[in-house]
Formats: sequence, structure tokens, C-alpha cells
Amino acid sequence: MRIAVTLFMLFLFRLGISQAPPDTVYHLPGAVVKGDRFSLLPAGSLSDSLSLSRAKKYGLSLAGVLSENTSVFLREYGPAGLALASVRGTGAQQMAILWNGLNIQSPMNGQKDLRLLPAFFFEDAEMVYGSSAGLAGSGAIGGTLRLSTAMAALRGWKSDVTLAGGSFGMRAGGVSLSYGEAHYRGKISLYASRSRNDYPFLNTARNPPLADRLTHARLQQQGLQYQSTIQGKKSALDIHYMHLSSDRQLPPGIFESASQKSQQDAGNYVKLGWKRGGKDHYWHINAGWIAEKINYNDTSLNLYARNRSRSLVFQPDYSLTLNAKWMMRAGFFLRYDRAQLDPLSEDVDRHEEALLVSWVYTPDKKSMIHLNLRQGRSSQGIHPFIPTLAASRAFGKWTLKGKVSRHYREPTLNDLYWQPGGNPQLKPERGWAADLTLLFECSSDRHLLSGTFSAYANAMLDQIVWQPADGGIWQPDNIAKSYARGLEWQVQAASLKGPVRFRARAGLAFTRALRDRWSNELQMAFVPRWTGHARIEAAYRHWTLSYSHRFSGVRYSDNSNSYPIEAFDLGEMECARTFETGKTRMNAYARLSNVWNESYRVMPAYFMPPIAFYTGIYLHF
Amino acid sequence: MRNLTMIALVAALFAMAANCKKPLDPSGRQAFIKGETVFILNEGAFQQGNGSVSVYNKTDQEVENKLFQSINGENPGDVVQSMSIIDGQGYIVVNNSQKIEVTGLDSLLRMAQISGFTSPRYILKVGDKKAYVSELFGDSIAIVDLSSHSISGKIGIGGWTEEMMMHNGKVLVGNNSNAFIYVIDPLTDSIVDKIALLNQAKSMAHDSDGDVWVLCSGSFTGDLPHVYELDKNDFSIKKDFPLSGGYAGDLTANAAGDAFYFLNTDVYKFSVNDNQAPANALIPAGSHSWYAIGVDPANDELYLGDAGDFSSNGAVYRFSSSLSPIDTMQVGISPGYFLFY
Repeated sequence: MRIAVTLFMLFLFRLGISQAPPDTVYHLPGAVVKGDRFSLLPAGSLSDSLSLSRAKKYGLSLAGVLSENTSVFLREYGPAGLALASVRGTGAQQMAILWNGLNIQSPMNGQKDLRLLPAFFFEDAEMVYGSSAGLAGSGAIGGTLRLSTAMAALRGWKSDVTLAGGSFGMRAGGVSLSYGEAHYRGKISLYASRSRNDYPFLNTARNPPLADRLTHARLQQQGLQYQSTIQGKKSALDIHYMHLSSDRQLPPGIFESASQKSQQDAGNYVKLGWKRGGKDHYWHINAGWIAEKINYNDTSLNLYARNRSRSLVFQPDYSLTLNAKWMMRAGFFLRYDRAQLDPLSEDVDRHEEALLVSWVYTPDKKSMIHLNLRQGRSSQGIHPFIPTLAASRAFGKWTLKGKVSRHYREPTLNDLYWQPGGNPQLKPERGWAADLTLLFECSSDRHLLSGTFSAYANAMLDQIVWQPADGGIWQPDNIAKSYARGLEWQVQAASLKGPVRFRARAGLAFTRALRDRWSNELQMAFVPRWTGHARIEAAYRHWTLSYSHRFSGVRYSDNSNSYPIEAFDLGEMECARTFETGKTRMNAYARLSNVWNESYRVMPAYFMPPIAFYTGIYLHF
Repeated sequence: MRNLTMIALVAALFAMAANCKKPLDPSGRQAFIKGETVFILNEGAFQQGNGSVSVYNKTDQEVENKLFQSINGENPGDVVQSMSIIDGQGYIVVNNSQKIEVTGLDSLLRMAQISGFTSPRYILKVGDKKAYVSELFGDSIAIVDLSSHSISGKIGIGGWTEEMMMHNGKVLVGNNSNAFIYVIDPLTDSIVDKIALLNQAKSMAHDSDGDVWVLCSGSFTGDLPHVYELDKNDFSIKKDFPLSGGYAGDLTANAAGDAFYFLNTDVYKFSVNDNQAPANALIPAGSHSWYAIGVDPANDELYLGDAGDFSSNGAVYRFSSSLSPIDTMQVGISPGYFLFY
């Protein structure tokens, strides 16, 4: 099956090359004077604009969105456990996650569990690959996930309701209410989900394979999201608020006999934005407040860890159009993090400040060059100087993009202050990354074909690794070097034939992640060399039938490549029907996940769910 | 002539059979030979289930990795901690899998499994059909019935119980959470005494006179490691060597019992006649991550486990009794325990 999918994807890609007609105008982003600093993130880089509609319908999290639509590899610790992103051979701490421009990676452990971010809350999501540390700051090394809750223009009242349910006690529901007029728009959303995750699985790590059932794996989560925008003639004020909380049992890994572990996560996120400007200049002032807590319990050990953090962020930008070809932007970044790390009795904190200056040069409508310089400092000292040079040029229906960027990652508060072991002497991780991307797109009234090919290299130095140290503890130090290089292909096709619509999409990624040196033959632990995804969809009148497939090649649980974790193929089928009555549109669906009933695991200790059935409705009125 | 040929052939067959000392295990493999075998336990990376057992044959000078997996078709589990030989069977303690694998000694073929522990560390036979198992998180010593291979009871001891040893019919239990060595009467399974030291007792060994030497590891809160010599009769402290900072472990006697090695990042050695801690390292760590010491009781050869980056295969370095390097072998992830059979 894996071979068939690969051939299918390569076929589509070759088809794209052969059908790309020459010399038509490619629309460049131009002088992005009205956007904030993050509007320049995709400049020079491969990026995926992620469709959230299916995930909203299904009550899925962003973990599902990324795994189905991108080459991001998700390290899933079971159905209720962590789902951490690995982009281009890096780890979860080396991807920035921007919620309305605020990096919401935890200042305590430097990562965000994507399973706890419900797709229902977001209006837009974009995955930008490669280093963006010049704009997004610390940790934007392998990629940047950009999430937005900002609504498009709206008149009157609108509402969305989703209800989903299915195997292993999965229940999810969400409701949102929106209102918009000329000078105001706002939206409030509620979401909740529950899942028992008590599924059977075949433990193929045992000899002979053992039929088993997952226990102690309940997950429940809920959230509230609110956003409003007041639009003036030359200015706009917006506020975004999101509350997320979850309570989950952490199931025993297959190497353990039982588990009494659980974890509660909660977070409150506030962003205030103000922008004002005219024809050739613009102010963006964004401020944010983030509060998170992570409670970890293991009742078998009488272990109850309580960890909390608070963060304040302030990031003003001023953009100025100098002339028809030049735009300049200057901005500050100020962040203060404070945390209570159990068992420390006193709070710990850190601050970070940075100055950013960007120039955008658009010599013609087909070319753009972006230079960004960033210099920052933090409680730990002066940061590396971070230059970024990005460029793109259109050649008819083809576009070539490239980017070279330095990057860095601040140590987390756990790295610095965790007791025992925290090391306040840590320096930031640092390194360089380079990207080259080729895009093509051709379309007619009834057909569309587009694709991308990307190659990249990334060097990461002074990496922070925890290892045994004096006192019988583990302590982090800047000791490791790692390197990554790879290739990525993506292709999309759409066609309309009478009442029938076809769409297809496929992606393939080859990743080499290496410890210590470029020439290392061994692959770093938990990074597959090959991943891929594909989706085909046919729609006839109100009916839609689709099949999605993704696969991961072999990974290893060690850097010696002695302990392989099996490759896996996953298929998913969906049948949906849309009903429309007046202004009300309802979508009802049924879907089967893991249709081939593959017994698989992403991380060694957890087998994932077998074939499962889900159904639900989505109402928009 | 034909008879002579037949006689020679039969004689050759007898000679070959006589030379073939190494029996075969039930699977047809060469069985372990007592006196020639070193079991190397590789912890693996925490929660990855990639712990393993390597077996080194001293005569052939060959190491076989992942042997438990080869024989049983599955890995032993998560954090393969230690191993003891009891009544002709191997007891492999698998810490984070909360179990002990009981194996044959001809091939590591699984004979039984003992489960129900919280976080087992070491097993020690303390009586006829009875063993104690120390626990990292269990706040107890588990009593194991060796006939049924099940836990028959527990002895409550707060904190992390670590290495154990038999001494004059009693069991000494080091506690790595407090400053005591507990003395247990294995006949009654009760604590009969506790010996106060300055800090955490991690590792213990006898010298040639029967005195007990204890290595206290030190801690991250600033307690320095210490080495104590305890009188064999009343456990009074005869010597106390404070060590420089670090985290010490793996106190291991040489074959004669008149000198000890230990780890404190580097490898150190001292004589029982010394009156202070060794000032200089015997074998500096350099780029190595020394993680275990073994001393072959047959010839005093020194084995050092190097865990490297703790997520790649490790290595074992072998030195002669005069500390000349002999050879190096690649083993599994984080080699942390040696058992000489």
C-alpha cells in the first residue's frame, strides 16, 4: 500500500511538471505594509495553509490537522497522551506555535501538546517550514505553526454547531455564535470533548503477540474562545481570549504493568491588538498575557507536581513604505515569564528583549527580497545576532523561493531552574538553516494543478541535552550538535466534470536527521526518513466520498538505530451529505479511521487505536 | 589397514567429543559456561523499552547483544536494572517494567515472571526459597517466594531502598533517601536495627576481613559522598573517607577483597589499608560516561560500562588487573550492571 501511495504521489507530481504552461503573472505579496511582522513569515519558505473545515466537523484537535495535511511528524504518546510535533528532523521545542502572534509554547517545558488545541476554535492555520527565528523568535527552528482566531468580515448573526461521536466513548460538541456589522464583529465559541479510549490492540512487541486492551486512558477537555474587533476608519482594536482545560488519565505503556498517572492542563490566553495607519505607514501594537498550569499526579508514588507559569508579551511594529519598491519595518519584542516549578518554593522568572528591523524590496511584480535583522538579549545574556535573507522570483507559473536564516532557542525555565538539575548557566541553542522551494500552479475554469518541491538544510549547535551529573541527578548542558537535511514534495489537483468534482492532494517528505556530524549514517531517534500523506475526494451534488492515507517509515527509539519502531500505513474513509434549507446548511457524515485496522504505534510504548467508526453533524446558520 | 582406519576414525570422534566441553541449550545454541560468562545489563532509554542483556564469553572473547530478545522474541523491558543468580536461575530485575524475569542459565530462556513491584532495583536471596527485592518508590522491601515466583509480603521501609547484602545471617539494606542502613532479620522479616550514616547509602561490599564498606552517594542538595568502613560485629564506623563533590556509586571489591573501586564521574581505587580517600582518579572519564564497574573475581580484570549519550549503544572497556587496556566491545544502551558467572 505504501508503494502504491508513493507512486500515486509521484505520478501527480510528474503530471504537474508536464502541464505547467510558461510565462504568466504570479501574484507576489507585495509590500506587506498592512500586515504585522508575521505576515512576512512565508517569505522565502514553504508554507501550507491548512484547511480546518474537516477537523472542525469531526471535533478533532490540531494534532489531527497536522498529521493529515502536512509532512509534520507527530510523536503521539497514545490517544490521551502528548502529541508533539517534529518538523524537519527537529523536536517539539524547536517549533514555534503562534496564537494570534503570541508564541504559546510553554515557557516551562518549551512545548505545546497539540492534542489540547481544538480545531473548532481557529479560523486560520498555516504551517511555515524552516527557520523563522528572525520574526517569530526563540524556537522557530524547524517550523512555525501560525494560528489565528481573527474573523473575516461578517454582517449579521451566524452560528456553527458541531456534534460528533463514535468508538471508544468519543463525544465532542462545539457551538459558536458570531455577529458582525460595519464597525464591529465578534464571536464566542464553546467546545467540549470526552473519550474513554478503552480500545483493544494487538501487542506485537510480545512473543507471541498478545491481545490487550488499553486502560486508564480517559481524556476530557473543554474550552471557551472569544474574540471581537472594533474597526475604525484608520484604526482597529481587537481582543482575543481563549481558555482551555483538560483532565486525562495517562495510560500504562506496554512496558509497564499499570498506571495511576494523570495530568490536568489549563491555560488562559489573552491578546490585545491595536493597529492604525495610512497609505504608506502602519502601527501594530500587540500585547498578550498567558497563564498556564500543568498538574501531574502519580497516586501510586504519592507524587503530585504543580507547575504554573505567567507570561507577558509586548510587541509593537512600525511599518513604512519608503517608495514603490522599498518597505521598512522596525519592531520590539518584550517578554516576561514567571513560573512556579514544583517543588521550588519560590517563583523563577526570566525576561527577553529584542529589536527587529526588516526591509522588503520588490523591484517588480515578480520578485521580492526580504532582509530581517534581530538582536536580542535575555536574563541569560546577549543572544546571537539573527539575520534572515529571503527572496522569491516568479517565472510564469513557476516560482522560486529561498531563505537563509540564523536561529536560536532560549533555554526553558525547566532547563534553567528545575530542581534538581536546572542549570542557570545555559546558553541559547543556535544554528543556521537554508531553504529552497520551487512552486508551480496552473489552472483553468475547470481544472487546477499545483505543486511544490522543497529542499532544506539545518545545523543546530549548542543543543541542550539532559544527562547524568553530580549528585545523582540529570542536568542540562549545551553539549549536542545535530543536523537535518531533506526534501519535500507536495501536489494538489482539482477537476470539475459536470456535476462531479474531483480533488486530490499528496505530500511526501524525506528527512535525514543526524547527530554530531553531517556525514553521520545513523538517523536520530524518533525521526522517520520517509513520511507521506494523500487524499482523494469525489463529490456529486450534495454527496462527498473521500479517502485519506498517511504513512510513516521506520523510526528508531535510539540514536544507534538498533531498536526500530515499525512503519505504519493508515487509511481513513468518509462519506458526507450536505443539506441546505434557506440560510441553514447541515453536513452529516460517517467516517472510518484506520480502515485497514493496522496495529501500529508511533512511540514505542503505546499502541494506537484500531479501526474505529465516527459520525456527526455540522450546522451552519 | 581398514581396521586401523576405523580405529583412527573412532578415536578422532571420541577426541572431538571430549574436547567439546560446551553443551548446547534447548535451542541448539552454545550454553553459558560457568567461569567464562559475563552478563552485561543494558538499561536502555527510559520509557522506550529498549533495555537488553549482552553476554560476553571470556574464552572466545565474543559478545552477543540483545540475547534475551533473541531467545525469547521480545525485549526484557524498560530499564533493565540488575541481575542475580539464585538456585541456578537468572533473575533479571526490570525496573520500570515493575517485574523480574526468571530465566534459565543455559540460554536466558524465560522460565517465569514475577510482577507486582512498584519499581524494583535489586534481588537478594535471603533464605530457603525466599528473596528480598529493593524498591525505588515502593517504600518497602518486597518478599519474594522463590517457589511460586510471587510476592509474599512486604517490609515497610520509607524511601528508596537500594543495594542489599547478607551479613552474619542478617540482611543489610542501603537506603538512598535517608542516612540509614537497615538491618533485617530474614527469619522474621523484621527490621532489627538501623545504622546511622551521614547520607544516602547506595552501595556496599565486604572486605577480606568481613568488614562492611559502604559508599554513600552524596546528593544534589550538597551532601558530599562518603566511604565508610563498618565493623563487622557492631557496625561501628572504623573509617570515614569524605569524597570530593559528585555522585558516587558502584563500590566494587577486587577478588582478594583488599581494595575497592568506585565511580565518582571518574574511576577511583583505594586499598583497605588507606586512611583517606584517593586524591586522583584511576581512570578519568574524559569523553566517556562511566556508568558501571565490574571486577572479574577470577582474574581481577576491570570492566567499565560507558553509557555515551544514554540514547545510543554503549561500550564496555576491559582492563587487566594492572590496568592495561585489553579491549572494547559494543553493547546495548546504557550498560549499567555486570554479573560474572
